[in-house]
Amino acid sequence: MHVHPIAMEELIERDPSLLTGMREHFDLRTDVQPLEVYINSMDISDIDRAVLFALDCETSIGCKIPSNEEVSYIVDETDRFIGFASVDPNKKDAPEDLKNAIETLSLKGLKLHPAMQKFDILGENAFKVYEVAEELKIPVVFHMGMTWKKGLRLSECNPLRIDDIAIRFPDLKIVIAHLGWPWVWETAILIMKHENVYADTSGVYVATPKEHIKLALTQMIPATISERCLSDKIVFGSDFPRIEMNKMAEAVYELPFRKKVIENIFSKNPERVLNL
Amino acid sequence: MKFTVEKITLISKDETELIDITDKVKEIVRNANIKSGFCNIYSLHTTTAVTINEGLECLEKDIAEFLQKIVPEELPYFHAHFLPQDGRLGVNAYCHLRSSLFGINYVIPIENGELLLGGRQKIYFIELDGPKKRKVAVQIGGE
Repeated sequence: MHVHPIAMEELIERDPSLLTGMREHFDLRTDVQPLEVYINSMDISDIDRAVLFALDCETSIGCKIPSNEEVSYIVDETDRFIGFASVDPNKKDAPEDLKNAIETLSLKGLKLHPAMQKFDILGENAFKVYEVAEELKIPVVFHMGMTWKKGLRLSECNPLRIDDIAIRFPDLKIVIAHLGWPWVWETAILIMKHENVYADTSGVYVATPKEHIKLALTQMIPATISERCLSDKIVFGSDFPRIEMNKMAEAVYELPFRKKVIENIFSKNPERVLNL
Repeated sequence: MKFTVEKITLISKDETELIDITDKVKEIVRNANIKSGFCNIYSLHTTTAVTINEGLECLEKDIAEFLQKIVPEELPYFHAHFLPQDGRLGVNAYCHLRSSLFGINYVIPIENGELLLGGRQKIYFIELDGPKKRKVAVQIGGE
């Protein structure tokens, strides 16, 4: 879960404006890497398939990084990826856009970033999008928690705001990205409370992947509680290319959890979220 | 005196990997048509290295394991904080340190139009933060 193909060479060759989007809006200035590197990273991490995100920020910053069509293009190149669409809830046509992306581009979920896309996740427009996602039986991943970009509001990303959505749409599978860090307990109570709410492990903020994931799931939340109460609801996510997939995977593999719990994080929980 | 620079592109498959680039460098030297001079093999990345050693798979494994032992991944490095210029955290201090141990270039004499290498010597590009796409410059100077 949680790979951004914005730094993928094959996409940037087709659409050089993606590079500007990545550097100026996504604030990521790492080297561009070819598809082969994405696959090699998955291979050394024992990851069979990864979820690639589109991100539609047309209203807020005037670009898609990348578009649904671009994600679909990569998904069609290899069987190693599952594509997630993104729509801009500020646009009147967003519900219809989502329906088209799922039905015509074979994308399997929806990615939203409330702070970057600058929409109200509890607003009427957004609720219309969730309605369609629920009808289509696709999961929705919300960026939650920390964002470094100046000018984006952290208050939009407090996972507690997901509570209202989970209550109103009990059949909609919701994934809180980044464990909602630093609001990890807020994320924990939501995934314990709602059958339809999950969280992914992606991203690091103040430490290496190993330090970060240990801090979040064994210290901020004691390991016993994570194993006992969260192990059916956490899915592996990396946030590649902000963090290398292999580094994040190794960090999660090394958590002091039972083998079955680690299997849940890498296999069973994502399969449930993705309806596989 | 003539100087040329050519670049080799590599895609690594593992986090730590020794890639034998001897044949590629030899070909560049041959095409340069220089009888006597030097060949400077220079990596364009700070989490990689260039070295010469015996071309054996067992030694490649030993070098990789030794690096992992002498520069452990898990130490409280200063580098592991948000780097605004990159838009991400510095999660690879150990890769930079391992690179510093070897250095990122190697200079080999050219004699009679060929690299002056011993029978057991192979030129290695060392990936220390892979998998990644990498570039190595091969500068040749001489006449």
